[in-house]
Formats: sequence, C-alpha cells, structure tokens
Amino acid sequence: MFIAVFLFTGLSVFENQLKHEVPLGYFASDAFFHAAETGYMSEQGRVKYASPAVVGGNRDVLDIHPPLLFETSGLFMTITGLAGYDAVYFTSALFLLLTALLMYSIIREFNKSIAILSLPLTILVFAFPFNNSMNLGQFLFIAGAIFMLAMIWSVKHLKEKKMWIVLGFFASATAIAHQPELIYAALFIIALLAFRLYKKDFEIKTIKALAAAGILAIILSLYSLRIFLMSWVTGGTGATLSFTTDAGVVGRGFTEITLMTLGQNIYDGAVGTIISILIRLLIIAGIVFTIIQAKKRNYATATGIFGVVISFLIYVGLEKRAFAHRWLWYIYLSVFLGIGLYTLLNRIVKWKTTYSVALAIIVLLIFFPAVSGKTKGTIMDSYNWEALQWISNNVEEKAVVHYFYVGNLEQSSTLYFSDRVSRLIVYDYYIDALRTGQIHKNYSFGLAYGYVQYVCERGPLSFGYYEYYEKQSNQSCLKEFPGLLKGELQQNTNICDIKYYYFNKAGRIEQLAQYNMAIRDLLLKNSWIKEIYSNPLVSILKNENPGADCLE
Amino acid sequence: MNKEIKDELIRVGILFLIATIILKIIFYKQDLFTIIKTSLSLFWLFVLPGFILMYYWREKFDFITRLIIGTTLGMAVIGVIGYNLGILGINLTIQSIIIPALCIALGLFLLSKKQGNQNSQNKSSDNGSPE
Repeated sequence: MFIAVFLFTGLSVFENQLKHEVPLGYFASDAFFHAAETGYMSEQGRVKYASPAVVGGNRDVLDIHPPLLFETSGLFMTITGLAGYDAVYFTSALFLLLTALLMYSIIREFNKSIAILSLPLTILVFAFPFNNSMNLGQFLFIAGAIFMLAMIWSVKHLKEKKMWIVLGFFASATAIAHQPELIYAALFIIALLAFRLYKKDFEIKTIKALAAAGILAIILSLYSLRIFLMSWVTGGTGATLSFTTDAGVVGRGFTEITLMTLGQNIYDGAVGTIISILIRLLIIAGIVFTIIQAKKRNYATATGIFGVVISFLIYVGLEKRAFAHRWLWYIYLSVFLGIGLYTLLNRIVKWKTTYSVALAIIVLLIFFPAVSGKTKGTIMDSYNWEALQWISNNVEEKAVVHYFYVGNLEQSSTLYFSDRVSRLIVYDYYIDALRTGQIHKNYSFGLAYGYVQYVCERGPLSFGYYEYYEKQSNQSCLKEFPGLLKGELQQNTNICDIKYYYFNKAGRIEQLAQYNMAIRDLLLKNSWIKEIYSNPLVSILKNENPGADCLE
Repeated sequence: MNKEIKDELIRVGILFLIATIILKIIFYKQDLFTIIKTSLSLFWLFVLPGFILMYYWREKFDFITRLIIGTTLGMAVIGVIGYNLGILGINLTIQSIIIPALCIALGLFLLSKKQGNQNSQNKSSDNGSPE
C-alpha cells in the first residue's frame, strides 16, 4: 500500500497517464536537459555522446555528466516505448521510492515496528519545498542518494560471503550516478571503521572486503570517472572548501530549507500547525530516546544522523552538493519519528507490529491528500513543443535556429528538444532595443549550451578537449586542457544573416511579443524570407538569402 | 529446497500482478497494454535480475529485504554493465535483453552450485553417521 501511495503522489503530475504529448512535471533547466539527453542517447542506442544541440553542434563530444540516470532511463524508454521525458521522470520517482524503502530496510533490521511507523513520513518528500528535488530536475542527485544508502546497507553486511561484490556494484553505481554521494559514502565508511576501531570491534577481513569492493567499483566505473576527472575536476566543480554561512542555493532558484521547514506546507490553518508541531516533537523525542539509549548501538540512527549532517556541509563550502540532502530530510529523520512514536506508544500499551501497521496506514491516509496532486503542469506549452519537434524533423541537421522572445521558454535547455544548435535572444538587450521603439540591424543572441568543457576522443582510451563552444570546421582534439571554452557565447548578430527565425506571437510580456511580430512582419516583406511553419503561438521563418539586406 | 524457490517465484509473480494493478490504478487513463508493458519492463530490467542475484543470501535476508535490495542491485547492475557495454558499442536494445538474462542465469547458476555443495555436505555427513 505504501508503494502505491508513494508512486501515486510522486507521479500525480502525470495526470493519471504514463504517456504524454509534452513533458509534464518539468519546471527547470536541469529537468529539460536530462530528458533531452536521455532522448538523444536512446535514439543513438547508447549513453556516450552528448546531444549536438547541447554542445554547439559537435557530434563527438563525450557526455561529462554521470551516466547512470541516462542509462537506466534509456533502457526503460527502449523497452516501454515511453518518451524520454516520461521515462526520466518515472525513473527518478522510482529512485526516490527506493531511497525511502532502503531507509526502511535499514531501520527494519533494528526494529520492525519502528520501521513501519517511520514509512509514512517519507511521503512528505513531495511536500514543498522538499519536492524541489523532482520539480527542479535534480534527478542526478536522487540517483546518487539511492546508491549511497545502498552502499551504507551493504557495508553493514560486509561479513556475509561475497557481499563485497554487491558493495562494489553499489559503489560503482554511485560513482556513475552522482559523484558527491560516493564521497559521502566513503566518509561514512571511514567513520564506521574509526568507530569500530575505537570499540575494538575491528577485523582485517573488513578492510580486505572493502578493498576488493573498491577495486571492483573502480574497474566498473573507470571510463566515466576518467571523463569526470578530465571535465569537472580539471575544469572545476564550482565548490570551494571554505567556511561560509550561506549555501548559495537561493541564488540558484532553490527554496531555502531549515529545521523549521519540517512539518510545514502539509495542511493549512490549525490542523497544519498541529501536524507540524507533532512531527517536530516526535522527531525530537526520537533523538532524545536515541541519546538516552546510546549504549544500544544502532545503525539506522547513525544513517539518519549522517544524512542530516551531510546537509550541513554547506557551511564548509559544499553548496548545493550538500544542501541537496535537505530534500531527503524526511527520509533520514523518519527513523527518529518512528523511535519517538514507538517508544511513547509502548509506554501506554504493549505495542505490537499489527498496531504499527494500522497506525501507519492512518498516517499515510492523512498525509496523502495533503501532498498529492500539488504539482501540476509544466513550463512547456504544446505549441512551442510542437514547433520544436517540427524543427527536429524538418530543418537540416547543421542549421542554427535563432529564437526571439519565447515566453516561458527562457530556460535555454527547453530548446535542446529541437535537436539543433539554438541561439536565444539576450532579453536585456532586446528590452533595451524595444524601448527605442525601433527595429535594429543587430541583436544579441546567446548560445544555448549545457557543458563547460568539451571532452573528445583522441584515440580508443585517450581523451582530449575541444576549444570552442561551437563546432569549428578544422578543430582538433587537444591533449592539454585549454581552459574555458572559447568563442562567442553572445553574438551581436546581423538580423539579415540569420537563416531560421523563431518567434512567439504571444507571451507573458506582451510588448516583447508585439516587438517579435513587428520584426517578423518586416522580414516577411522580403521575397526571400518565407514563413515555413506556423501555429497559434509560433512562427518560424526561413531566409533563403542570408546576407542580403532585409531591412529596407 | 526447489519447492522453496518455486514458492518465492510464485510470490514474485503475485507481486508482478499487484504492481500491474497498482500502475493501472495510478495511471487509469492509460491503456492496459502500455501498463502491462511498463510493469513487465520494471520487473525484467530491475526487479527480477536483482532479486534472483540476492537469492544467494536467502538464508540471511528475508523476502522483503531481498526484494528491496535486489531491485536496487538490479538497477545498479544494469546501469553499470549497460553503460560499459554501450561504450563498447552494444546498443540499448541488446543490453535490455542480455543483461537481465545474464543476471538471472548467473543467479540461478550460483544457487544451483550452492545447493549442490549443500547436498554433497549432507551426503557426506549421512555417510559418516553411525547406524
């Protein structure tokens, strides 16, 4: 029942259908990026090269993102026939479910009743703002978190015969799912070994098993890790170790989460306040009982504490890599709520597992209507979607499409679905131009791109770098890292040199849409510029004679 | 022992039916064929391979643990092996067939090997016991 309720809630944005005409549940750049890449890689039949639309038209730039999400979603997409955007979202919701169930498994080994009581809390990962993980497309993080927890589970059971192989696979999966979680899992293992050493409960066999698992993991993830080292590490991940009080996440569009956020946004009014207070009190009670009973070593509470501690590593500069774990607080802290509830109830009546099941069902049914169905829609409308698909099927592969004001599609990764190199108008300059009341010869366009380093193949196991953002005719794959990509991200473009123009006829900012139409109408006065596609929102023009003066 | 495996596979079969029903309830507007295909895909790609591999530890872990860890393991194996096969040029369609099949075959092989060892241990202790 829990699985059904969790999936129903997590996938309520799908509006009770598996297949959709447009990507539903997609509200941010990262989400569109992952879906576009999965779709492209699936069409190519393997997860290796980035979509040319994302890397300036290059067909042989290696994907530098951790590939596990693309691989599992791609396989799922291949067998089911689902579109990439549906497969990615579904797979990510499944990952989140398994993360909750893994925590449940870890707790269950400690106490079955507590595990059952802890489960309903995990559904609140879909309450705002914890649902940012799904809504903002942080699917790679979710993929990393599930295997990090899987590693933690398998380390506990390393004494079992051949369990090192399981750990090896989980470690490799973490390495190719999201690398920060591999580091966190390694920290957990080090802390565990240190604790065992302190308690004189340490065996050399454990080190041997860990070493074997580590070697297996390295072998299985070597190719991906090599690319990671060459790209994110050489080029910089953006995180710098230093003390700070600011996670820097609000600037990235994430909603701040503090301990006071727990329990909020479930129900409104007095009911909401009571539930919020109850959740916090039970978690605190669970922590207190854990401290009181500290002599009973408990792997589940250690896991929960660890998950929460990671999320405070923002204060040493790990920014969103650490902050992301706050989205899983309801999963990590579920063990304490379970302990709090169980311990208190057990003092009132001799508590049985069947009572836990009944109470868990009640709590689940209380939480479910509060969080299900709250996320609706998408920022992608059907008209722009249709137009992007039309470009993908009808415009030559090497074309560059120039997008003027496109309403909600300001996030350039939405344009990757055109499968063509895209240049999007720079809105600040476009607004300045609008204010002049005139149509100009030149406008500034920015390249829609998704990678900050372009890793290429110099040989079968030898890699290098491309230098430029956009594909160059005589480029070579350089051995040495050339620094930041070169070339013009923003280009002052002569409007008459453009071959394909993409306009939205309406949008949130009406004046910009009207400006669009004024430019479009002027261009259409030329006999060599024709409208090749139109729907109620989108107009696409083709210039058969780029370079000829088109503004007379 | 074979009865035990048979019982567990029946349980997995029942789980598949329940999963299909759950998916049909959640996605009630979707046609049944797509639902069954999705459910089959989930079990073929992730649940079965991992669950059968986890059967190696069936004495240590109960059904629910093996199911949860097994599904996660299935995802890990298919993700990791699939990615590496893709680098070698083997496409996703072929991967989706051979990796789960190999995992299931390996799981069954390890199980039969373990059973064989246990049977020969039982035989030698029977031979050694006094009448």
